[in-house]
Amino acid sequence: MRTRWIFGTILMLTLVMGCAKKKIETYPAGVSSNQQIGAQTKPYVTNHQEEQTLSSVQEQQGQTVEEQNLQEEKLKQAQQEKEDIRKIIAKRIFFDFDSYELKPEARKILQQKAEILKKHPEIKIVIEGHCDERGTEEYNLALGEKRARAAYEFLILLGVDANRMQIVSYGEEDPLDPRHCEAAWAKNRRDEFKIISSK
Amino acid sequence: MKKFLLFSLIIGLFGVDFGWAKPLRVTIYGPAESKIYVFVAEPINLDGKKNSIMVQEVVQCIKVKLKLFPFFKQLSPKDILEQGKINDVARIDYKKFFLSRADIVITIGERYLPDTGKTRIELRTFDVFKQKMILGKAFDLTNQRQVVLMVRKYLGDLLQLIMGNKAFFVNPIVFVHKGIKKSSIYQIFADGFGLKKLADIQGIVLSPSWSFDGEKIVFSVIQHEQHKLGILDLKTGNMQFKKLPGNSCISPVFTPWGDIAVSLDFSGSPDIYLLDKQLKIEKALVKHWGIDISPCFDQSGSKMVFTSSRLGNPHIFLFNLHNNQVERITYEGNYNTSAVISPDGRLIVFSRLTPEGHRIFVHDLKTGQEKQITFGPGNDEEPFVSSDGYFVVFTSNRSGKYKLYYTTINGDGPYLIPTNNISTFSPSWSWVEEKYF
Amino acid sequence: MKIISFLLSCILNLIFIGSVFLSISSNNLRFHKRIIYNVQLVNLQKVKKIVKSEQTKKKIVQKTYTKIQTSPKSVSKPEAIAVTKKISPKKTSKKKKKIENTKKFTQKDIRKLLAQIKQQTDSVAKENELKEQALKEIKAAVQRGADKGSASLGEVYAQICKAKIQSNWRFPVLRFGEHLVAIVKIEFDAEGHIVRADIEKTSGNSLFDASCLKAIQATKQLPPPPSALQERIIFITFDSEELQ
Repeated sequence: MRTRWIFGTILMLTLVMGCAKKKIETYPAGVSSNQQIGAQTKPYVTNHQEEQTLSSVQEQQGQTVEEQNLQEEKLKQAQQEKEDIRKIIAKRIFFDFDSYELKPEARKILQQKAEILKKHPEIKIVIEGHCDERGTEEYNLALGEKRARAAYEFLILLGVDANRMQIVSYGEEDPLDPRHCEAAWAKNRRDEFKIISSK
Repeated sequence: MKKFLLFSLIIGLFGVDFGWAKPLRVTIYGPAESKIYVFVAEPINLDGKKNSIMVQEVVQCIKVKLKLFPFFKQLSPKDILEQGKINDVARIDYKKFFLSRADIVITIGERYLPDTGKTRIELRTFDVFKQKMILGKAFDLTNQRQVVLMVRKYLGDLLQLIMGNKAFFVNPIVFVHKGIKKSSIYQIFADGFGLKKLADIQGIVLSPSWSFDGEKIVFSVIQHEQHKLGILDLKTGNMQFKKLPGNSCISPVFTPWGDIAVSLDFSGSPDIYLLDKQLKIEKALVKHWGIDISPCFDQSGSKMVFTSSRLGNPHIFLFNLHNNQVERITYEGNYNTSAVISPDGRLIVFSRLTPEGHRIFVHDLKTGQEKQITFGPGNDEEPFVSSDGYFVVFTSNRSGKYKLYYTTINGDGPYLIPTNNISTFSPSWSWVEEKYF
Repeated sequence: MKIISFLLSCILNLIFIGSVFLSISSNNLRFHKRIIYNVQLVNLQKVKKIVKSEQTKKKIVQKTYTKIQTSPKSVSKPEAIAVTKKISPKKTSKKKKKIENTKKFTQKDIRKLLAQIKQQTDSVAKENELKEQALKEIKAAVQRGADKGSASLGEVYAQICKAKIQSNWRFPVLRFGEHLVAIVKIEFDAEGHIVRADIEKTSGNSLFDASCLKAIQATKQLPPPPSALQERIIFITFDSEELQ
């Protein structure tokens, strides 16, 4: 990282000193493709700077690059975190046949979710309850609701605000695995968690 | 000594005899066959000409439709003396048919009407034993497409005569076809006639159910991650959606008095509520911490059957609306769902999960008897009983794909209802004649 | 001497009566009832067992029983017919497979059963031969003496009539658990021709009543009644439900 932006600065210096025009074309490629940088560099591109201003430009430029890179870092981190949150939130929990009881693994997963949700009060989720195809439609719709509610109530117990969660049952209508075997059924008896808003 | 012996013998013999001077009595339990033998006679051209193609089609159509009933057995001409030939419907040799064991004989007469250019088809049914005509009708047809309409009409009347109901031909069945992101509600008659789409609806549609007057269909739909109640008004063609309190809206049905009963979960678990005409919650009918769903009312509105998980597994229960008592119906198995009650409130038809898959069972409330009426393979689900309490429509994946079938309350089926190969779910059989075409 | 001879006669009498009774057990239509129990109770119970386990109807037992009564010299055959025949026309309402299973099972078991019965009947038959003469006399005596009509003979006759009429009876039960009962009075002549049939008690369902009369008309001819039968009338109750 460090070497990269030292190199960037050197490059910048040579470019700025040598040929102002060329700098613009190569600059984004050399440092980053971030559009913001491109946008900020634009004024310099159009102005065709004089010698005098060059140093300040160079300074500014260096500053800008530094700032941008930090932002990028933060952004990446944030994205990573967001991705982690999404992953944890999206983690499915599974149930036994004709049961809406939370299994120990499910409780663990829900605890992870609860931590995240408490840390990020802006996140709202919908909990979907699903069933395998073996039951009958109407009963599965009710069972799916019970499954979603089991997770919902457990999350409330762990301190998540009820207003941030919605429940919907899909019964047996939306299987994860469309096959007709125990392996598929086990996958289909599940709760799914989807983020509906993070603002 | 010999005398003594003889004497003792005779005493022994006649001592018993004196008590047996009553007339003979004997009981026959059950008929040898539960069939009506029908013979469809060769058509008669009343103009003395050769039979037209149209009349041949009439014969064919009648024969095909008669095969849809387990209680009809068709006799072929070779079963009947003199091939069952009838030359004059006014002078039928009943003896010939009686000796050939025919119970009823259907005759078809054809006459060309030169004034209108139509063909008159005369259909008659004779009771061989009573030696008289029991149903005679004439139809003036202009084209071949009217044949099936005529035959359905006539056989409907014949059914009415024989079993006191013609629901099979006149009461439509609705079902759901699920597409990608949308569902369609279809209508069909039990003989496969009149398949038509009533509505396309965004989302997943479940549990369509007729109103008792046959004017509306209520259903639940999953749309935009929400459950909603949907009402299709067949009279106006309008469709109405309503989000009810809570997250779930399951198995809505009409009550005999025109309100809607539906399972809602706003108090924590699905319970059965009664809605008023404005779709506001009027009161809870059945409330329990377990799952309570799938209400179904008898014609009088005094009994409501439903499914509940109050004992852990889903079982069938009966709610008495007069005294608010709940009675458990199923004791066998551990997954009994989708119960419906016959219009007369006597029979409960439901689906039970057996080791081989779901099967349809009938429970007689009068005798407590239970009987399996479908035998797979695959799953036989979502039964619905016809208004005469005799036929049961259900959906089964015995062929790999869910298709509609019907059987009888005695389990004499099943018969496939052809639906042009579209998948079929949640069949519901109207208890009244089709009103809006 | 007199006393001795009287005692002797008493003993002899008892022995003779006893032996006659035994022989009647397989042949006579009236007396075997009590005694046949001793001989065949095991078999009957076995038949019942099969019936129960396979959920077929009691009727089989009844019919088997009566068949044994009617043709004592070949007990085995009618029994087989009775049982297998009863099962095959069983209602189609039952699972086809099950019916087939039932058939196989009972047939197999019946074969075993038949072997047992045959053994027993063989021994009985030997006895029969010895006492055939005596029996004939007794039978004749029964016929002669039964001026009021022999009860069990009449019963057997009624059962034959019942089987004949039932085979001609067709009626579709269109309602689950619908129970219809009608009583028909049949009059017949000395040759067994049915001369008159009337509904004695209606079922309330005209189609059902008609089906009963139809069955009788299709039967037309009953076997000639035993001469001992004085009143040539039979009341047949038509019950829509098979025995459970």
